[in-house]
Amino acid sequence: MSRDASPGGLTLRLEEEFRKTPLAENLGHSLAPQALEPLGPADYPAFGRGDLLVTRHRGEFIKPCPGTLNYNCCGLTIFHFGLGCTIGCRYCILEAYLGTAALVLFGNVAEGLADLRELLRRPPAERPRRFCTGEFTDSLLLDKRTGLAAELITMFAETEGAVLELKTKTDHTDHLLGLKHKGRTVISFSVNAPDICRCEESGAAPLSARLKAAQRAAAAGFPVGLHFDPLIVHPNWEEGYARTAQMIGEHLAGAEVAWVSLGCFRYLPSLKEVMLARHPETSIYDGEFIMGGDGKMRYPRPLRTRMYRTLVKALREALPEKTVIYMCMESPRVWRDVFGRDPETEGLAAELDRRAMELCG
Amino acid sequence: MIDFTLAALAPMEAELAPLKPLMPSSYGRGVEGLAESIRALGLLRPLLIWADGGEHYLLAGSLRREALMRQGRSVAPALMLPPDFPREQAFALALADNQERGWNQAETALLWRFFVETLGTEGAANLAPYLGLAPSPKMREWCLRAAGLPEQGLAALAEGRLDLETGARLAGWAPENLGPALNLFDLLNPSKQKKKQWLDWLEDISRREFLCSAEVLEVEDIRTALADVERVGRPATEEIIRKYLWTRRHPLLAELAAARQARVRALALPRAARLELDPSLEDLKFGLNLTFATPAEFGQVAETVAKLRQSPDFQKLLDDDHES
Repeated sequence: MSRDASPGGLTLRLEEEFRKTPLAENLGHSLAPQALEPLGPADYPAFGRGDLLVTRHRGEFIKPCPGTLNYNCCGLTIFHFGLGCTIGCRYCILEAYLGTAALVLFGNVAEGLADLRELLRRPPAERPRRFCTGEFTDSLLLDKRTGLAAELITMFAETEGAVLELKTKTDHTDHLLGLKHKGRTVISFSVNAPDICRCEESGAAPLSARLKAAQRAAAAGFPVGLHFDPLIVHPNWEEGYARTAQMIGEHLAGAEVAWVSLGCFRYLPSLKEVMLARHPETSIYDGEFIMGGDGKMRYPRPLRTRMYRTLVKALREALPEKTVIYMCMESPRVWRDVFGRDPETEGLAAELDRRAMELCG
Repeated sequence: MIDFTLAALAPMEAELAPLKPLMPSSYGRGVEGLAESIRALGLLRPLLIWADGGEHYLLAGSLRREALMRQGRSVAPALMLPPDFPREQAFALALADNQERGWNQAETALLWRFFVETLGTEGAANLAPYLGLAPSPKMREWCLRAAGLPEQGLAALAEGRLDLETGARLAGWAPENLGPALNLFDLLNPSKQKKKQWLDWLEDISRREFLCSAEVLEVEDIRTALADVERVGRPATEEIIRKYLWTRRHPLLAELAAARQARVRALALPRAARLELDPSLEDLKFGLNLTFATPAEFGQVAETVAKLRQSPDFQKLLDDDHES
């Protein structure tokens, strides 16, 4: 059984000014473009599933992860190239808040790439060390069509003291494996307990396919990353997450695992109504939640602590000791209870920077 | 819109019985007061009639007609709109005719649904200002949904015992669940915020436990509390209902909160020192509220706090990760 997360039946709608760009040319190899009047985010809701819009981005292409009040953030810097995702995870904020099921790519991404190149020219001490894509989309969902990752991987291979992280729930990585990367790109896979992957992420590649893709990436010398986010309470969750940790051990024995992040399910209160209307069969909102210090609904702290401890223990048995395991957007208190220390945002970012520098030599 | 003034129309005598209502302009209104006024003062305003496809529709004056018919009258003065008078404009006139009286929420919901079904969303939007309906799409969606409530719900809307948002939500409930919820609201009249919270919990419990909401509400604890409302009063009954639903929705949090309360009690703090803990257990910060009237009292409180710092029970409370 194999699921392909790449969206089929796409209609490419392209603003005229981007017709001659490398992005349009790459997309044109598999999709016939249709003309699109210049538009802005307010116009996106007029388009729906199956539409791929190539339009101008008027904001910043590079921005720090916004983090969240009262919780430690890993301090990544985001390269923003598009919006939307067709994977359709039932916990995903993109499902509810983009206001459209269409996919959006920024036709002027070359401007963003130029900004990024400029930033990377600065000495490492004067700029961020870790970058990622895919805050508002999956890093590799459309990459076979866009060719964007190859450009980024090459750019980072030529840059000292900087690491790129590509995060995905797909297994669309084989087209990248022959690229020269110098260990400066981490290919990361979002993973979960088998039942969650099957039921709540049904549009993503199956867990085994993701882990096999991670295995092939590791064999090609890429450091790999793993993100358990969101951890979700479900029947037999302890066994489920332990099973995934065990599968990771089996697939990635001897691989360079850069880091593993953990984050418990959290959501803005208004997401629940939207998602239950769309997916009445899901039970992930039936758990017990409290309002966190950032205004998001979270599992009660003691339950989160228990989930993290369970998974950290299983991962420590499955992965080499040097693998950095950290929590995404967690409170100082939970850090102390799980790891016996609170690194604070600055300390966590510095720790991950050090790990990144180890990887890129 | 055609150029038109009502004053230009000559009054005529219209037979009351054959007139058909055009739209649901009145809901939950008694006619006794109006009948009394007509008896004393006569009919101050003629009815408004619109002819379409050979039928005569009563555009404005349904309550007046009812009051007149109760008095045994079969005809009444009326104004007949000219032939081919546009339908949308006829609706606007009908609304304008009732503007002074205003609309209760059941009428607003029913009228809005009628206009959307008759004229489409755009046509209905032209009439919204006459109906006093805000341009908020959410409000309009609530009206559409709330119009589907059964009689008991519409009556509660009309009488202001139910708000539109809650009504819209309850309209999606199965009739067998709606009754117990409305009965609960009727009996206790909780605030809108409480209604929302209770419905959230009820829906969550029902989904999680594969029960219908009526079954959740028909437990002994709630039945007893509602039967006792006269004796213990509404606020205390509301608290019983709230606590029951919260605990059933959040068994883990309830257990953790109880354990924490027991630990706080074990500290045996004096009244002058009140520990303020985060009820969500997120524990991003703790508070200690000290109250004293004199320097001597301050000394005593300070001593208590100093001792607290060393207390193993206090440390356990602060460091407790609930694993034990």
